[in-house]
Amino acid sequence: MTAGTLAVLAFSGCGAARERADLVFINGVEPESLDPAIISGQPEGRLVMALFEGLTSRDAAGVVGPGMAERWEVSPDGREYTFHIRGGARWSNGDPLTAQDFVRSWERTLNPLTTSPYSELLFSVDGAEDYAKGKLTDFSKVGVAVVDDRTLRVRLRAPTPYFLELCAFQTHYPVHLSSIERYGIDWIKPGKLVSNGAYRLVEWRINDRIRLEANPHYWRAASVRLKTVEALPISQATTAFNFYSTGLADLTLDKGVVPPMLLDELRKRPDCHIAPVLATYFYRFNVTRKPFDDPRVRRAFAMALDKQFIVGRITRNGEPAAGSFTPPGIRGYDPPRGLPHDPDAARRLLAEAGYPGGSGFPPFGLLFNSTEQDEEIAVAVQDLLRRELGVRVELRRQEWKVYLNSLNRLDFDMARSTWVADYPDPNTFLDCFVTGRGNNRTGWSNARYDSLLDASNRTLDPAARFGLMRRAEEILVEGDVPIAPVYHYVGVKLYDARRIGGIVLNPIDEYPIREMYRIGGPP
Amino acid sequence: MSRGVLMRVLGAPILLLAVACLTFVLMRAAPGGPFDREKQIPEQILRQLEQKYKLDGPVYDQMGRYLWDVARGDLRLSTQYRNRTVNELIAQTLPVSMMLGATAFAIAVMGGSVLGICAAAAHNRPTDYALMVLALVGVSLPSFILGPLLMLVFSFWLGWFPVGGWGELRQLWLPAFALSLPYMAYITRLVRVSMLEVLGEDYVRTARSKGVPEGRVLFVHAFRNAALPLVSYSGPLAANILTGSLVVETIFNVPGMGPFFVNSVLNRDVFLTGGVTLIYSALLVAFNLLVDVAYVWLDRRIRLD
Repeated sequence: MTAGTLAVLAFSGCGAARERADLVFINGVEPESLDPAIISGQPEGRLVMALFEGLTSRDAAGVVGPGMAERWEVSPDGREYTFHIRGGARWSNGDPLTAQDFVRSWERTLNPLTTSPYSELLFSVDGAEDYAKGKLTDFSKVGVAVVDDRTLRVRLRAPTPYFLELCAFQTHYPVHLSSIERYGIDWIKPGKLVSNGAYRLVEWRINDRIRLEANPHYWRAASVRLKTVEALPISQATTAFNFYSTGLADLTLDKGVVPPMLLDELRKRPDCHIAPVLATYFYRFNVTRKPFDDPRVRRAFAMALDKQFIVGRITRNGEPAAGSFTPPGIRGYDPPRGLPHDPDAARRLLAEAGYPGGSGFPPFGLLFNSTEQDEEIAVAVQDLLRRELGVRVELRRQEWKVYLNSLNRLDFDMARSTWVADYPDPNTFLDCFVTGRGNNRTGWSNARYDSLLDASNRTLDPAARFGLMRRAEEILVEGDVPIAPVYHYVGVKLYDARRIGGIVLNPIDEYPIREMYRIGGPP
Repeated sequence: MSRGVLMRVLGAPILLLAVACLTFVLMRAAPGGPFDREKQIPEQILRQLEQKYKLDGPVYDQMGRYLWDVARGDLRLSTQYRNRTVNELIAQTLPVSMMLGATAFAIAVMGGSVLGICAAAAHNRPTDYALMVLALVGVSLPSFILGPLLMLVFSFWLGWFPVGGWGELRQLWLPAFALSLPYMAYITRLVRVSMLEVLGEDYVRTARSKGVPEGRVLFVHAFRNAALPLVSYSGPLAANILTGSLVVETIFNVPGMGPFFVNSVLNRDVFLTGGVTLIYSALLVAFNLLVDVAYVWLDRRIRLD
C-alpha cells in the first residue's frame, strides 16, 4: 500500500498525456538557477537565452543583431548608445516591456545584494563599477537612462567596441521586477516566471527535465518553429549517449557528454559535428614563488611543452595546438604566434636561469582537477618536462572546489586552467591578466601590459585597437609568459542534420533554440 | 517493551542534532568552499553571499544558528541551486528515490527469501550450487556494470524497456532490478544459512514427522524463525535503499535524491549535505526501531527493555 501511495506521488502529473517535445536536448548539469543575474554556467546560459532577450540577440551563427531594440544610434565618440525598443514588445504575461525595465534590471544586477557573479560585464557602463562596489549609491548617476518608454540611452565609460555583443549576454537581459518582488526566490519557477524571450517555462523537475513552450507574446513568435522544447540535465556521458542513440534526445551540445572512448568511432559519423570554439586550455605559473618568478624559467617550460603530442595523442579531436592565449577565429584579430616548441632553446634558457640540465631545480607541484583527460595530460607533461628539462614534477590532483580554492589563494606552482570567451573579442581573454583582476590567479603584474590594454579599450579604430591588443598579448605569451597556452578547444555536437536544422557551428558556441527547426515532420 | 521504544523515540532528536552538528563541522573544515567558482567572485560579493547563506562569523556561531534552524525544521537554502531550499530539493527528489527503493526492496527481500529457502531445501544438490554461484556473482557485480548490462540486453537488444528517464511504469523496472540485485544475492545467502540452521532443529523434525507438507514446513515453520537475521538486515537496508543510489539513479537518469549525497559534498553545498544526511539518519533510526519491534513479534522470547 505504501508503494502504491508513493507511486501516485512520484508519478503524479506525468501520465500518458505528456507528449514528446518537438526538440529534446541534453543540457549537462541541473541548472543552478534561471535568474540571468545569478547564473554563470553554459547549461544555464542556454536556457536563459531561450527564455529572455536583451537589447540585441544572436542569430543561428552567433552573430549579434537586433533584439528587443529594433535599432540604435552610436555617438561619434563611441561612448553613447541610444536604443529604440520595438513597439509592441511584451512580457510573456502580456505586460508591455519598456526602457524602464532595462534600467531597473541592470540596477538589480549591479546591486551588491543581488550577488551577481558576472556583474562586471556591466562595468563598461559609466559609473556601474562604482555603484557595484558601493562607492556610488545613487543609481541615477550611472550611465543608463530612460528617455521615454521606448528609448534607452546608455553612456559608456570608454568606447567599447564589443558593447553590442554584451547586450546579447545574460547580465544585460531585462527581468520582470514586479514578479521578483512578489515571489522572492521562487520567481523563476514554472507558473511564476515571466520572461520576454522566445520561450516561457512550463515545467521544471529537479534532475529530470525542463520544459519550454513558445511564448505567444514574443515579437517574432511567428518565426519560432519548435513549439515545445525539453532540456534534460544529464552530465554523465554514457547516459547521455544512451538517450541520444535511442532517440530519447535529439541533440547534445557539450563535448563532456560524449563518451571519450567512442570518440574515434563517432568522429566518422555524419551526425557528429566538430568545430573550433573560443576557449583555451593553458597552464598558469605562480610568479610569486621561486623559481617561477624568473621569466626565463617560465619561457623554458612553455618551449619544452610538446603541444602537438598532447593534441595528437590525448585530446584527439583535431584541437589546434595553442601558441597564443586568444584563439584564432575572432574577426580582424591576428593573435601572436607565441613561443615555438624548441627543447634546445628551453634547456639553454633554464641553464641561463641557473639550472643547467635541471640540476638544482627544486621539485614542484603540477595542480589539476579530477577529470580523466586532465590527468592524462598532466602525466604527459610530467614526463615531457622530466625528459626535456630534467626537472621533477609532482602531480597534485584535487577535487574541483579544492582546486579552485588553491588557485584563488595562489597555493600552487603550476596549474592547469581553461578560459572560455564570454563574447567574441580578445578583451574577454586578455582582460584576465590585468593587474589585480579576480581571474588573474598567477600573481603576475605588468604595467606595460595594463596600459596597452587600457589604451586599446579607448581606441575606436578597430585595426589600431587590435594592434595594441596584439602587442599586449605578445608580452603575455612571448615575453613574460605567466601562462603557457596548450591548445584551443573544439566543440563536439551530436545531431542528425537531416532531421534538425537551424544549427550553425560557431566559435562563440551559442545555439539559439528559437532558430532551430525539424526537417521532415515531428519526431 | 513500551519503555524501551519510548527511550529510543525520545533519544532520536538528540541523535539527529548530533548528526547535523558533525556534518556541518566536517563540511566547513574541508578545503574549498561553496563560493569557489571557475570565474572568481569579487570580494564584496563573496561577503554578501556569506551573509545571505549565514556562513559568516566564527564556525561555532554558524553552527549554533544552523542547529537552531534545523530544530525548527528549516534546512535552509542550497548554495548550489540558488533559488531552492533544501526542504524543496528533498521534497521533490525523495519520493522518487523512495518509489524506486521500495520496489527494489520488495524485489530483493521477496526474491532473496524464496531463492534462499530453495537453496536450503536443496542443500548440497545442483540447485543449491547453482544458486550460490549466481548469488556470488550478484554480490560481486557492481551496479555500474550491472546497470549497463541490463540496458544492453533489455533496451538495446530486446527493446522492452527505455534506457532511462522517469514518469512511466515501464521506466521503473530496469533501475529497480539493477538496484535490488546485489541485495537480493546477499539475502539469498543470508536466508540459506539461517534456514539450514533452523532445519536441523527438533521442532522441524517433529513437524515433518507429524506429516506437515514440506512446503508448509519450509515457508511457515522454519522460515518464521530463520527470518530473524533477515529482519535485522532489513532495517539498515531499507534506510539505504530508500534514500536513493548515486550510481543507479545516474546511469538511468532517475531524478532521485541519490546523487545529492555525493554531488552536494563535491559542491560544498553544506546545507544540502546536511539535509540528505539527516533524512538518511532519521530513516535509519526509524527502521532500526521497527526492526526491534518486529523481533518481539517474531520471537516472543525477546524483550525490549
